Amino acid sequence: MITRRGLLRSGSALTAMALLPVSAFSQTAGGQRVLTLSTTDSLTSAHPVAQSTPQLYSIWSQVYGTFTRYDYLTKTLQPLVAKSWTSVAPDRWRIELDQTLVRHDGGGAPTARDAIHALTYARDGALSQQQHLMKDVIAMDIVDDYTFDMVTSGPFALLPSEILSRLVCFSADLHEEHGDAAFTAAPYGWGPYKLETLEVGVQIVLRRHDGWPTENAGAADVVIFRLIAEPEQRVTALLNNEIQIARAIPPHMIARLNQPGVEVLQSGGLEYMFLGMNLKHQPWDNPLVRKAVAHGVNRQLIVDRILNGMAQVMDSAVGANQDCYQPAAAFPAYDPDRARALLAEAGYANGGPEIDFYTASGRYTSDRQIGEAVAQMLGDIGFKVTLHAPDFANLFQMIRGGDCPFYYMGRGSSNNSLYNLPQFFETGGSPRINYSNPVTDELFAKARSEFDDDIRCKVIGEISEILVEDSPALFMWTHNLIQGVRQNVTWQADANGEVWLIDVQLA
Amino acid sequence: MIKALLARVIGMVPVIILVSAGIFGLINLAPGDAASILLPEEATEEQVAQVRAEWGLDQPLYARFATFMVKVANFDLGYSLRYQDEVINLIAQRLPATLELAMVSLLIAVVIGVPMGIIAALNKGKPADSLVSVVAIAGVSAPSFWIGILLVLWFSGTMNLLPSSGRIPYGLPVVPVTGFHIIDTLLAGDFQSLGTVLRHLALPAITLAAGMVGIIARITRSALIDVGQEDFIFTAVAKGLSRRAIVRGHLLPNAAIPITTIVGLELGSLISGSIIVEVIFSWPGVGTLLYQGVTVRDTQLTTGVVIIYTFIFIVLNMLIDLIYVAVDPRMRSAGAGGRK
Repeated sequence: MITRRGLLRSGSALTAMALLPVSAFSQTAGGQRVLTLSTTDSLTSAHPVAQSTPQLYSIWSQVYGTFTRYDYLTKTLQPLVAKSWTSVAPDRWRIELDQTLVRHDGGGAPTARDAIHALTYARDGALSQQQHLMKDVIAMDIVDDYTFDMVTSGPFALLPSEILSRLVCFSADLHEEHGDAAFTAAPYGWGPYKLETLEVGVQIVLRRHDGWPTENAGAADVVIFRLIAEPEQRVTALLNNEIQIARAIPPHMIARLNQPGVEVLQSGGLEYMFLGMNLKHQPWDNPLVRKAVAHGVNRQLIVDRILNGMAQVMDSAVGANQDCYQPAAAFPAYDPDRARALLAEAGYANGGPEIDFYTASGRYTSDRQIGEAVAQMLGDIGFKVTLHAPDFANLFQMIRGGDCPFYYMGRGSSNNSLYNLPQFFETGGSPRINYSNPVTDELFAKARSEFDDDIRCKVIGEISEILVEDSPALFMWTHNLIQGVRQNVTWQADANGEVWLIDVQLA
Repeated sequence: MIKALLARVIGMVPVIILVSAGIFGLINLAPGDAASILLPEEATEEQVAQVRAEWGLDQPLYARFATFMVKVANFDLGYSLRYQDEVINLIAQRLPATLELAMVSLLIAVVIGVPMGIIAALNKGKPADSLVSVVAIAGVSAPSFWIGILLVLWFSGTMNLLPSSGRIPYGLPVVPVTGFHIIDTLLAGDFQSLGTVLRHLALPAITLAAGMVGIIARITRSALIDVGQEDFIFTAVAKGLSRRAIVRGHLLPNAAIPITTIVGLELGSLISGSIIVEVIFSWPGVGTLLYQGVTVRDTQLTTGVVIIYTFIFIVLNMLIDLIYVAVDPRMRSAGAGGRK
């Protein structure tokens, strides 16, 4: 029976609960070491190949295990499910799997059959969104139980980082038994963390895999990736200790993190921003006009004033944090007089060309404001600019179809510039810029097939010089990655921005 | 009455078809589709085209819509391309969170709004009336995203009193029976978990209720003032009834119909209007699902969610009609007369 006294007691208990600080509830997992991180990518599905976002690539890499892992701090490729990888012929890589690994459910080590099954699924599976990664692989052969070969259509020097560090290995038996339901019914892999729960679009909970060979006593027992889309929310949740790592903090919010118990980590990022000029559209087929843009935009001023200095101005077609970076000798300096002279030489002495300039709104840091600044700078040197700021889905549809004449966008969440430069600047790469140059085409082919890192970097340097000179795009800057971290968490942020969980230390 | 309800149920069908057609068409008017948005930027045009064909997005709009409506007729809301799952499953997982948020918001709005309206009506033209008006207008005018962020900054950021986002923290032992955490924790007699659940509900519910408090207060005020002009109220005063007795016995029951109407309609708005609040507070409800569906042109997910919203709205309207009958004796007698 409900009594007045009972009601009062319950009310008092609830009031007392309400007055407790939030941090008292932040780690309620019965003495386990819980690490909660914010994510911004939507946590869409438990299917490891039915996605293509950097954060999910990283999460599934740590659950199922990618074959290799690129360490952005040491800039080296590390073994994961694969123990070794060797080029046995220009078009053939031999991959040996790690037989010491134990599957999350106690099953055996990954086999060549598992590997080929998973890679074939990534290439042919109806739900796969990673088919593009396998486009150069024409065959896979089992060598022995724990070794297999990947045969490519031509020499493919970067296969271990381009394919093997992105695609996961999963059990052929479990997948054949359960079908795609295996990723929810039996989500067992060989990575350092196993999947505990996935609430689609809300959070993913991982639990440390006891059978993982590397020891780190301070690593978290439970890791929660929580989707928090709003930056304001991420910052507040971090300050409240509801989460311990808040990622993707906008530059203007850094000041809020200057509080006890919280640390701000900054690292140079991989994604580079650029102004793309599609040569299919006039006046961008004229190199003088393109060069005028390159001289007419004061990138350093934008970085200083709009991005609060939280970006690195580019001086090459390769980002400073990517492999093979070297400054281009001929990078155009900001010189509005030179820009005006180039426009005059291109036939626009009495008023520049009318151009439509597109930027996304809300996709990249301060993109709309940057678009306005660029439009104003180009207006100052004589262009008649109409600025458009559609939502990114619409904009990207235009860019992808080659219908966008001039745009601001970002590209390249890879350490390897050959992963995305050819898509924009190699003949037939895509209609996004429609640049075609037989010299760079030859250099791209040479770089892809070059197994010697030094020689390959030299070739990429030559490509960069040509692109900077021809200016089919103006390479702008790479954003710094800003992360907020509680002081009891030791984590070395890298250019990728993803967290390799087993290396994180909780005090 | 039953006839009228049956007519409403039958009338639901064309409404749902029209709403579905509108949403389906609008999503597809925008450039881009799920294939071009969901596939990675590295994917070539050929790969996008291949996936588009696999997902049936290369079919004409009318054919896709017809296929979808046939599914709907079989109580199947289709398949989400973004989440690779049945839309009905996704909605079922999240609907309790949205309904719980809406119900708590409604409770807050009624508990605050109705007394505010009564105070304003009883003090018509006095400072208390003006104060209620100011608070009501402020609540209605302030956008929910602004109120939400402000509350987060104060109660989470500055005072560290309430969680800034999410529904429950990891490890909270809530056994899902109904999916409504308040009910589930009460069923389990777990008051500690109930407290945590309420703490997580507090900010989003207050944010969502803020706009509604003003509307309910204004409607209550004007309904009470209108009823206050009726002859039977003057009779009650002349008979020497106390002010409290008049308010409780005559004013409120007679003002209940407009208040019930607005509360019912607002509940529908709370459910469908919680999208922004859910996104701000990372609330795992149907609103965030809809938002995520729209951003990637996930047509079946978006249309499916809107169909569910429409269905809830229509059902709520039917419930309001039933409540009218319960609270208004005239309607009961009219119904009885109709049956004769």
